[in-house]
Amino acid sequence: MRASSLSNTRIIDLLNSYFVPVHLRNQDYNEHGDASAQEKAERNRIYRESLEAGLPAGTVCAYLLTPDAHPVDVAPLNRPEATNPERLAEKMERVIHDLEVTRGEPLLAPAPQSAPPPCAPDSLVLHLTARYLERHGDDFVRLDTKSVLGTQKAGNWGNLPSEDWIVWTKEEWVRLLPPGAVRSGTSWELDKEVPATLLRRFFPPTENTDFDNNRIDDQSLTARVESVEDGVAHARLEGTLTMKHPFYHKDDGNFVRAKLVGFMDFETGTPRIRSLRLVTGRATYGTDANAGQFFGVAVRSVP
Amino acid sequence: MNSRLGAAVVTLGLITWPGAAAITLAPPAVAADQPGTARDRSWIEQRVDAWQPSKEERAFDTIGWARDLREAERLAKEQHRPIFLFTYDGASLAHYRC
Repeated sequence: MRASSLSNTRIIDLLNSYFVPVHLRNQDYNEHGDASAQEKAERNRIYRESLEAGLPAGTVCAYLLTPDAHPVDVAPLNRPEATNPERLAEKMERVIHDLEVTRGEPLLAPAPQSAPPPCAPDSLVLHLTARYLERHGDDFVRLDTKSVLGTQKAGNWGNLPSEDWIVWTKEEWVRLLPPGAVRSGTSWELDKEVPATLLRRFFPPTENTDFDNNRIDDQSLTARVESVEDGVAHARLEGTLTMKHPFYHKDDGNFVRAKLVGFMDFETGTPRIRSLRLVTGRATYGTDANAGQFFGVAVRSVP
Repeated sequence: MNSRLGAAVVTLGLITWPGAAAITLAPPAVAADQPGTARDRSWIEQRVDAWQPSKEERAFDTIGWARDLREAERLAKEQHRPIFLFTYDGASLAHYRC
């Protein structure tokens, strides 16, 4: 729905001009979720009321509610009303008409929905982007999805990248640095435990986002200092990853196989990582039988 | 999603689910890893930049979302606007690409 209706200019205009848009993650609203009891009760009321009204409510769903938060229509993901922007717009316009809503400015300023989590100032914050790629000569390039984004045709896992944020505390990132003196040519194998928290997220967009259960079968990441200038070491990173990651939430034999390359700039005096980049070289996701799909992951430290 | 939408298809060269248009991704042609490609810092930086989400891929960010359901309900009452509530599964909205 993100790549189809929620990337459609007509839908976005309707949302900003006539509605109060809000999204919520179902896992935050289950028994052990982080949402407040009040929010959970409210979300459950909306779901229950929708069913009582004979509406096809679901878990992945767009609910259209009155200003008093009573459901008047729903568009569940398994019906075309959700992913067909024209049909969703018709539903929204019907609600606007019936409730006599007047056009206005957005009530809230748009903001990036992928933002770094709060963390300690000496943390290392990493931003990760993962996307499917296609081969183009000797290189792997992003898929050209401009023509399908915002349309009903954008119902494909390859239509959008996924983003993620990883925060390493100082106690964690110092474990990436070499022991002892650092000079040009110094090389070392990076700690496995800390990079694993990042590498478990090295997979293309899939329904399964439970990276804690990904099984790393092989992981290597070595660093080699190429130069030291003004107290800053510039190290090259190289490695490989083999990891089992089911596409859905059940075993399916899909594996990530990736080569890794990057660099890390760090101060040789007081421990501090100034910059870290890590990207996949050739990376595939699939089973032994099907050889896999090309994908790419790019990690950058922020700022 | 699979249980709600029925059996999904994940096969060679095809990543899709029922009712959606499929795209075909070319299968790996050779085992070699980009022979002759120099992977210096510049190459790495370029790759990082090239794979960042584009403006079109972040259209979702141009929507003025409320922070939570409570804020949405307060604003809806005050401004007499209907609420559009999108509920989803996954790690986060940016991670889950439904």
